Amino acid sequence: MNFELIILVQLIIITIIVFYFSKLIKRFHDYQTEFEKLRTEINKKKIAALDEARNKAIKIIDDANSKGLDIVQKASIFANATNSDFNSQLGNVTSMQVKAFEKTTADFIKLYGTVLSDLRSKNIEIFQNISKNIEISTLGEVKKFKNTIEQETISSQKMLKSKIEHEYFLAKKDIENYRQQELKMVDDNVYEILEKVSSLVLGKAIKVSEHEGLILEALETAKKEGIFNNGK
Amino acid sequence: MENSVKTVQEANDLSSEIDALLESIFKTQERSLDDSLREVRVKTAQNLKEIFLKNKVDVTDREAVKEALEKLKEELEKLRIIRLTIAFEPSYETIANIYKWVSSALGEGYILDISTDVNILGGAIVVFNGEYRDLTLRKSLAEAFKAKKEEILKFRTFG
Repeated sequence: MNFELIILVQLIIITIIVFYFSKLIKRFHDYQTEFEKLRTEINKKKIAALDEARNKAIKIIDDANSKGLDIVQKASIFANATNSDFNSQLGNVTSMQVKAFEKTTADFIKLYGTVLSDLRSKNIEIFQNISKNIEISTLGEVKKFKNTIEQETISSQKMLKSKIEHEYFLAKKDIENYRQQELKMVDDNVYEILEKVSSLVLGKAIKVSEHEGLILEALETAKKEGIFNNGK
Repeated sequence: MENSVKTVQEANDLSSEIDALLESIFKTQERSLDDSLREVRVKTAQNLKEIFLKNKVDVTDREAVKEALEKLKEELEKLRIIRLTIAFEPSYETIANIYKWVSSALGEGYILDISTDVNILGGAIVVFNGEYRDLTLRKSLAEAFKAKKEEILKFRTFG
């Protein structure tokens, strides 16, 4: 029972939907038809407007051309009429301008000359001042440099003198030490030297007879020491 | 004969002369001793004649002469040598004086072998029978300087 009710309800709903939908479609068709009518009408009106506009434009152009020609004609008449007047005016203006320009130029040149002269004087003064300043500055620097060199030289001299004196003292000390060492060496060897010298002197001083005496003394000593006892 | 032989050099010379004489005597049978003695030094010939006379050697008997000469040579070889090193080249007189002392102090039978070394300054180095004695002036001087070193140094004038 319920199932049939449901189906019935669904059928009713579907029927309503279909009915409503068909009405919509009809309305759509109506609108579409009206649209086509309006479009046709618009196109007609547009064409008519365009034609009207074109005609108006042509008319305006023609009017403008006429007016333009008229103006040109008037202008050329005016131009011709004022040409000579303009030339003479121009000539006057030109000569006036030239005179004014010449005057201005002369004034300008005069002014330029004055300015240049002033500038020249001022530059000369400036350069003289600069030269003087450079001279003063340079002399000052040279003097300062000279003083510095003098001081440095004196300082170097003092330092050098001190160094030399110190080196001299060390050298003197070394020499004294060396001298003492050498003297000690000489002292140690002096008796050897004396011995050698004595030998040399004696060797040359002894006579033959003295030599014989020394030989016999030696033999005597040898005999006393018993050297000849074994031989007997 | 031994008295005229004072040095080793003289002994060697005499020995060589004896050898030459021995050879000469027996070279030819007819050669006399006098002829043979002509081949040696005059002094040697004289000395030999003295020896032969002293020992009563028959100079005509070759064998006796030969025996005497050979005995002499043996005697020469028996001579004891005293080696001396002295500071100068000795003259004959110096050698004679030294030999005179040797003969006087030690008797006969000694000869001298003398060599020279100037560095010893004076005195002599004596070598006899393997024993050595430095009795030179050089040694004495060295000893004196060694002993007197401090005294000598006091006389230095520098320092």
